[in-house]
Formats: sequence, C-alpha cells, structure tokens
Amino acid sequence: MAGLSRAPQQWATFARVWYLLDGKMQPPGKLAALASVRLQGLHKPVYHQLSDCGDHVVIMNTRHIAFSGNKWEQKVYSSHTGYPGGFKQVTAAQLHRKDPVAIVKLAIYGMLPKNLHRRTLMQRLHLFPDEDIPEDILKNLTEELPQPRKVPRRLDEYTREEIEAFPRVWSPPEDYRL
Amino acid sequence: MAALSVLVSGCGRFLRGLLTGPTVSSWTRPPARGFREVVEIQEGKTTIVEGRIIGTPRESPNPPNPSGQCPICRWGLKHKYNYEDVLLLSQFIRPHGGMLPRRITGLCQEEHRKIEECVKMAHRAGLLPNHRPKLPEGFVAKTRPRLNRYLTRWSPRSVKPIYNKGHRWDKLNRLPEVEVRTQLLGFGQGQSYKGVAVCNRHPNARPLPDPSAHSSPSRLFLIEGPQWLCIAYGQSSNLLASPSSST
Repeated sequence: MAGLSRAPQQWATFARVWYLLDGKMQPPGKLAALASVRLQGLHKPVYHQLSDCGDHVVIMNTRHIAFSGNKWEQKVYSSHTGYPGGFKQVTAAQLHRKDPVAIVKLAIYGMLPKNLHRRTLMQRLHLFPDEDIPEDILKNLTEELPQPRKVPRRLDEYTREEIEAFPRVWSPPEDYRL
Repeated sequence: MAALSVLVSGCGRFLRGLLTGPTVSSWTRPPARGFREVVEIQEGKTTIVEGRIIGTPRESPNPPNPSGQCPICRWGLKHKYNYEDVLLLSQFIRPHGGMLPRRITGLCQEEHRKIEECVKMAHRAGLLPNHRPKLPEGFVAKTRPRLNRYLTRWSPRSVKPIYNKGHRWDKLNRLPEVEVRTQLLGFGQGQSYKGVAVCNRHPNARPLPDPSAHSSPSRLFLIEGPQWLCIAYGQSSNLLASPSSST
C-alpha cells in the first residue's frame, strides 16, 4: 500500500480481522475448510506457525447446513465418557437435533493442526445456529466470505420469463390424462 | 356421465384450481396434458357439464438434432443435466411429483432412469416444493424441522448408520470405486480408469465417447446398475472438463 508509513503498515499487516460466513444450505466440511484456513492465518503471505497471525471467524445459520448424500443418517459421531460402558455413538441427525452448532465445531476442530494452538484457535471461532448475532461481534465484522457451494434455485424461484424461455422438450398426446 | 366423472376425479379438481386462479405467487407452467374447458349447457331439465380439450402444449420448434429418438437426444442434453436442472426435470413429472410413463414421454430407457433418479434427488433437495404428494382433505401435517440435504440418491429411511467405518486400508464410508475397462468404450488399448459409483465429480472421470459408435448403449459399461451415473454426469455444465491421463 503506497502512502502508509511503517507503524500503520505493520498494524495493517498483523491486525486480527473478523470474517463472517453464512452456513445456509452449505456442506459443513467446506465451511470448515474455509474457516480453518482463516483461523490459522494460512491465507496470509506473512504466515508463520509461531507468529499467531490467525483471524476470527463467525459462522451463522449452522442450523441450516446441508449434507450431501445420506450423511445425515450414515455419519456417526463417537465419543467415550471414560467410564466403562460409556461408548456413545450418535448419528449426525441426532447430534444436530441436540446441538445445532456441534457438527460444524467438530468439523473445524478436526481440520485444525493437532497441537496446542488448536484450543486457542477454537476460541477465536464463533458459531451461531441462526442469524441473530450479538451486537459486539457484529461491530467487529469486516468481511463476509463467499459461500463455498452454489445453492441451486428452486422451481418457484424461476421467473415466468425464464420458464417460458426454456424449450419444451416433448409434446404429449392430445387425449392423455395425467 | 363420463364428463362428470372427469370433473370429480383428481385431475378435474386440479383443473378447477387452475380455473379459479393460481393461489401461489410464482407462476406455474401449464400442465403437460392439454387444457380442458368446462362447459355447462342447460337443455330444459337436463344440465350437461362437458370438458372439452382446447389446447395441448407442443414441443418447441427447431430442436438441434431432429433425428434423435428421445427428447434428450433431440435437444442434445445427453450428459448435460443434473438434479439441479429443475426446468428440464419438471417437464417429465406429474403435478404431485410422480414420473410420467416412458411410452408417453418418448424417453429411452437409460435416460428415463436417469431423469427418474434426478427427480428423486431434486425432491429430496427440496427443489420442487409445489409438487408435493396429495394429502387427504383437511389434513394438517405436523411440521417437523426438516434437515437440508442435496445429492441424496438413496431414500433417507432406507439407510443405516455406519457405526464401524473399518480399518484405514479398508474403509466402508468411501464410495465404492469402480474399475471400468475401457476397451469397450474405445479409449485405447489397456487403458483403464477408476470411476466413483455415484454422481459426484471424480478427478479421474473422463467424458464418454459418442455412444452412436457402439451397437447398443447397454453395453457401454461392463457393470450393470447405478454405476452408469458415475460416468454419465458429475456437475452439470462444465462436467468432466479436462480429460486427465488415467493410470
């Protein structure tokens, strides 16, 4: 940046930035990949593992994430309480019902480097199940990241002109009853 | 009698709804069958209520490939559509979401199956909200919080949780990779590539050669069943863009 002297340039390079990510109809794995990159600071050219250059990430609408395939029924989250007979296995659907934030949280936790920094980086992650975010976090947000998945349009979201412009591909017989 | 029965049957009720005016705010396409107008004629003491066919939607003129046998081949959409191309899929479904029969639409067997699969996936993704099944009169469905999903090939009720994913070298949750011998496909001597047996994009997948070069389309793949989806289409438009050199 031309025109910034040394101290402001240093501040602009190393200041911690707050990002917003909307999880509506998005796969949690792709959200987690974006978030983990930003939390570690890998998106910055000045990245170093020890220089604590990660940013804050706020993910909203985690209640409305979308899994592809049958992962809601097939994906299983396991944990052990430490006591005998305490092995618990829950499907993604059950876990989501109990805690709408847990799936994204576990996904990001698994994608961060497995060292002592991980807990600190998780503290810089803020997850909200719906659109209501507290005032003080809203004030800090600088940029909204683009959503990783392009959400397809529903049939009723197409305008009349678009539907009419699309050609009819076959013609039914005259007397056919649906 | 026959005309009365037309009216009181399900499709007659649907037409009545059309005549009174659309209640949904978005515009819905006219039904795939012909429009019928309801005419009441009073002759002395008898009233004749008659439904007359007034217009049938026709196929759009100038398809790119008029010599094709099925609508997909005629319009050059052979490997070009996906579950999200709702404008195409909605032309082959009934008002309540079911598929139209193949002998009426004129699709070939494999395309009919592909469209059927895509329609099921679109329903599960919630892309066809106005084509829900008919519920009995006065029935109020309990609205449970619905989970969002997409690309769901199998019915959610038919699938069990994978409690034991398997060892690192033998994991179950990875989609079964299908080795397809390509001599039949004409890719060359001894080349083979692995495809993933679901319609997700696989980095090794390559576009199919022109199927008209082969005698019968059913022999394109050595393996029967849903594996055709793996090569058939990944993402809709820029699918399988660059042919990568296979192993």
